[in-house]
Amino acid sequence: MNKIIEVKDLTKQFAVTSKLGAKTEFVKAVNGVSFDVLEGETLGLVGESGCGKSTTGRLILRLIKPTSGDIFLEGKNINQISDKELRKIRKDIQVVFQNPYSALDPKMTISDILSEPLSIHKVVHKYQYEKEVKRLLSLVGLSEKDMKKFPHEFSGGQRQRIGIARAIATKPKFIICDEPVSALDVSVQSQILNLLTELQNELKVSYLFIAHGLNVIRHMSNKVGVMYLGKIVEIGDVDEIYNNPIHPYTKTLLSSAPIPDPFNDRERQIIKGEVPSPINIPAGCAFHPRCQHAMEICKHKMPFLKGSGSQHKVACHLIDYNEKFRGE
Amino acid sequence: MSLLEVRDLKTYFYIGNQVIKAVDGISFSVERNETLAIVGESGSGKSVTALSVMRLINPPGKVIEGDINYNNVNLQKLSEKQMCMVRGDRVSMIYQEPMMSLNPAISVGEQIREALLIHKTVPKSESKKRAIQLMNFVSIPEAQVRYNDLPAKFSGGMRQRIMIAIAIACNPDLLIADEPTTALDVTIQSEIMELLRSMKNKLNMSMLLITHDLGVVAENADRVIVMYCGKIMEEASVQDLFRKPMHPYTVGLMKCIPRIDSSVDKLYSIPGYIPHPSQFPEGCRFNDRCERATDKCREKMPELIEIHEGHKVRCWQHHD
Repeated sequence: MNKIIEVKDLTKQFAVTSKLGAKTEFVKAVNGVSFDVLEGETLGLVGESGCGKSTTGRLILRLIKPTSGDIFLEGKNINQISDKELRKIRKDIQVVFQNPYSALDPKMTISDILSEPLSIHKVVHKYQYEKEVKRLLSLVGLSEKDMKKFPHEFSGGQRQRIGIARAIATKPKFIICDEPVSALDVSVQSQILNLLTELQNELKVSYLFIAHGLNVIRHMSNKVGVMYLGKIVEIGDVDEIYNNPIHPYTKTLLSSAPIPDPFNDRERQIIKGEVPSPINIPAGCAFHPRCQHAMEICKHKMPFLKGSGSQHKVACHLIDYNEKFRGE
Repeated sequence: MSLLEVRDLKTYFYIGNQVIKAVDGISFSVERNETLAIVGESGSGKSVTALSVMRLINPPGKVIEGDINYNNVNLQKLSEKQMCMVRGDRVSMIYQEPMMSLNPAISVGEQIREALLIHKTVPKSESKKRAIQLMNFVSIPEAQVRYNDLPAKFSGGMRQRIMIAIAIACNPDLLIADEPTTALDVTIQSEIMELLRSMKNKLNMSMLLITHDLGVVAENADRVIVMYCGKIMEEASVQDLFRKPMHPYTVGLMKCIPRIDSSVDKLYSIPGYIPHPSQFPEGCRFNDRCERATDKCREKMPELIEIHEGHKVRCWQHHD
């Protein structure tokens, strides 16, 4: 299958100036992230707040400019292109935001909201806007009658459907879903997840699915990348990661998520401490101060992502250690 | 005898010409040393229930009916001054967003000490020492040094620990926790729930846990109340509820959550949306989303009836 998106060594640092302007520090939000997303596939990015998952999404959208690294859309580097060209490719990369309340202009009717991308990207002729808007609405499970309404007349779930309709209006190849169901109630959440799956099958679009809910990520993704302090610490096939996590952070994350089953008696892996500030990322492996398996090498040498083939890669010194141990 | 007994509680909000029936006739009790979870989606009335118990409902909201008996004292009949001596002393509460509940301009240590001084739990001279003890108790590192820090210097998880320290300062009998971990990351969430469980056991407290997360319910509750649109739909022990959910809403809720321990191709979903609280349907409030609804469900609201010991359900299907 073709690679739709390829990201290589992406980094983003935000400069923060202290109150008196004396010192400039850098928040290393994304710190060397690489992955690719194949045609029709969903890559899930999961991690706790501040791990850089949303920043990664915004970098691919080119809403912010990377500090270094490359982003390829179907083999074409979109990091170095002119603004004019960038505008053209915006049609191919769309986004669904977390909060459907703030992502829609309250003064525009649904018809206006959905016609805007059609006109900017000249998707269809002017005379066909109405027909196209109706088609989009029916695709996301809303009715023609909703065209003249304003966003406030809809519930959160319906608004998210409008957000999705707007994202698919330009017939994109790639959609970034940034926490699309986090603001919704569980009974509505599953409707939206099913809608996103149906649309993917129908339109053959690829998703980058960003979420902190581990259950949602498992359901939606083919591949999963687990992020910690701006880095991917483990990436691979979804079942492989969930059934056989290797990185101590992934293990902790999976065992922390509560399971709706009072008869479940799995073992908890509790970690101590909190995520360090992305301004002062610990040397070596960024997770070592919280890792119960930390060794001497973890404190000064950064582990690289490696593993068996493309299926499952882990950035952890323990693997080398275990292999060596087994060798002896 | 139950520690807290709520009977026929109705809390309505009067907005313009509309009457919002946020809590519409609910009864429940919390026993000593037990954790009762109230689970529901937005607009189900779970938070309003908690605020009503604490008598923190302000206009346009009003508790229009019902008895709230705490330790055989009717809280509705207490004067505001007497009620102040109950709040934070016998019954305390923690909220979803710790930053909104803490005063940003007062050091965390002083805020813990405030609770001790108001309720005269310890002599003034010992209050600082006790506040530091409490900070240690909820595992805040270097409590002595951090006593003087403002809330802004703490992370979300640490702030929730401070809130817990304030809540348990006077050894309450009942702790009401309103979505205590919703704003926190999963690893922090599991630490905070762990802390709440251990505090509850050490101090022999009861807990009223309000949440929308069935995972949190399964791991922490003894009994569960499922609320929908201001009504109790089902009530059961946590084991019974998960083993044999009876109300179609509870069944749907459990089926529509993706699992982390297994996967399915297509998720079940409850059709439709939660109705606006001014536009509840006639009859059973779930009827327009229920696949098994009959004409009877559209006409008349079923009663909450006990099917077998401790397991109650409000659904025509389970009548007779």
